[in-house]
Amino acid sequence: MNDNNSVAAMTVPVPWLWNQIAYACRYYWPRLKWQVIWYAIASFVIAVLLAVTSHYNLKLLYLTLALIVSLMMIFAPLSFARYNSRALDITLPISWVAKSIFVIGYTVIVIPLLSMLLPVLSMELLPGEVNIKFMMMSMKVFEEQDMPPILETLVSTRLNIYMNGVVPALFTLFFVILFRYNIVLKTIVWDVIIAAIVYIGLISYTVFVIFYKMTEQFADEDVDPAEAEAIADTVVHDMMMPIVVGSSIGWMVTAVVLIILTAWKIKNRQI
Amino acid sequence: MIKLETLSFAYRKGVVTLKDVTTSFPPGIHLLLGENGAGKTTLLEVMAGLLRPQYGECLIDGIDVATHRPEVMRDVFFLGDNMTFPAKNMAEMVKCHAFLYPRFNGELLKSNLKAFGIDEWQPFMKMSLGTRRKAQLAYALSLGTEVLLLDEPANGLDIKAKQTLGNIMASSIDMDQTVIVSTHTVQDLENLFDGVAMLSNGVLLFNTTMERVASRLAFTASVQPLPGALYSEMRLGLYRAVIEMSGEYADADGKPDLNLLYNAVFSPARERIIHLLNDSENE
Repeated sequence: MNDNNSVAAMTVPVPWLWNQIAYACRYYWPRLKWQVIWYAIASFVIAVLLAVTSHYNLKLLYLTLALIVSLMMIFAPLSFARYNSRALDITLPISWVAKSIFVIGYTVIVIPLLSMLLPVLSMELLPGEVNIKFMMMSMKVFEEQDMPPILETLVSTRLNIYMNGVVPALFTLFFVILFRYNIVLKTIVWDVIIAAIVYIGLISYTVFVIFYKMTEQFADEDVDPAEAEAIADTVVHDMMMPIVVGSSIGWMVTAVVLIILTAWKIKNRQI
Repeated sequence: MIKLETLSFAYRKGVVTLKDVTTSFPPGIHLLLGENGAGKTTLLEVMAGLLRPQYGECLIDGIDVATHRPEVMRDVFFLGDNMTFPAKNMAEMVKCHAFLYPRFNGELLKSNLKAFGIDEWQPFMKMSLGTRRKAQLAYALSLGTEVLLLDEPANGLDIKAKQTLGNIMASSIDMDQTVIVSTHTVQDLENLFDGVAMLSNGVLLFNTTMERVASRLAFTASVQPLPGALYSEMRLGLYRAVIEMSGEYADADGKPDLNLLYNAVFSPARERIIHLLNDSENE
């Protein structure tokens, strides 16, 4: 055994939280490096394509690009599963608070900025014929009516893409931290299951409410087709507010719950 | 110094893996022995903070490892049997991970890697299992952590690499470090150990120094079986025996043979051997 014990009494103070967050960044950097580079390139390409599709009113392509931005955000936390070095992640001499701030911050701030900044700038600087807000306003229910200010905010392109990307991304992050084996596959499967549950729920709610209201309206009356169409439009219009506001609040509550759960899981993580 | 206090651990299935383990490991190199499924890896993982015990605690310098506080985690490193490093190569690993360990010695790492014949820029992905293991061992030994936990370090190593491992362990480990090695291939590192602990079915049978083993038990080899031996077995044409150093064998001599000790513990002499190694009356 080496008898050099000159370093035995070495005591180094624990770094401040911000230093620890920087250390976490340095630790995770090898697995995030290529993601950051590729996301920056992809974001630039998407920004250019968004401007072109918007200018030429190519709605389908435009929506596809918006979906790609969301997917980029949703699956970004899978990078944390790279190398499968769970034991080192757990025993890293960094506090759970610093680890949580870094991985959650990366998911809800860094990746959205990286993915969305250029596309949003492109939409702001080169507005074209099409964006999500215009598309919603062009729906018959909003024809000749002003959109309520809160609804206008909630259907804004940026918030939609951000929330549609970040909330599922928080699910992805939680699953990546939670699962021990087959992390990538299990995470994708559970993301799909949760997305299916949410959208089936929303669709079921919409169909149920429309059916209920229509039944109520036409219970004792003979149906005039023109009148029926007008009533149906009113019903759908009335539903938009609760659905958009409700789902937005639901997204935000879910985001907060997932952030808490992820931090708790990081704190109590075991091999 | 690592101290375990009434440590118990059970996996979710309900199988109790560690039962009321209370002991301490002073600085030095300790061998952790036990049959398959005895709980050796679990014990190392609990000591590394990778598993949280249901009861009891594992203290390093008075701090419970389960808290994962940075001041304790930077003094512990666990090298498991099937671990992967989160970097492309050793140079990148040093940049992203080693800086978190205040006593990391870059020169020692280079020297250890050189001893194993590994280039720090060689990608881990392109290394064979054995080479990757050597690189990981070289790294673990250069971190300078107060507690170093090695699970089956010699697994996958060729004969020469095992000898090199013994050499670099001898030169890399400081007097104030506590190294616990769980291995079945004891003969490769036999001369390094200062202490030996043995687990069986989650119960710690003994944790003692090699000095005490040598002062209580003699390990002999003879053509004829020795009468009164606690345990004997035939190996390579000789009767190898474990004898208690008392009575007519009070002055018996023989370097501790850890393989023989291991086999003896699973013989009818088990209770006597455990008693001799745990009994502190005749210190």
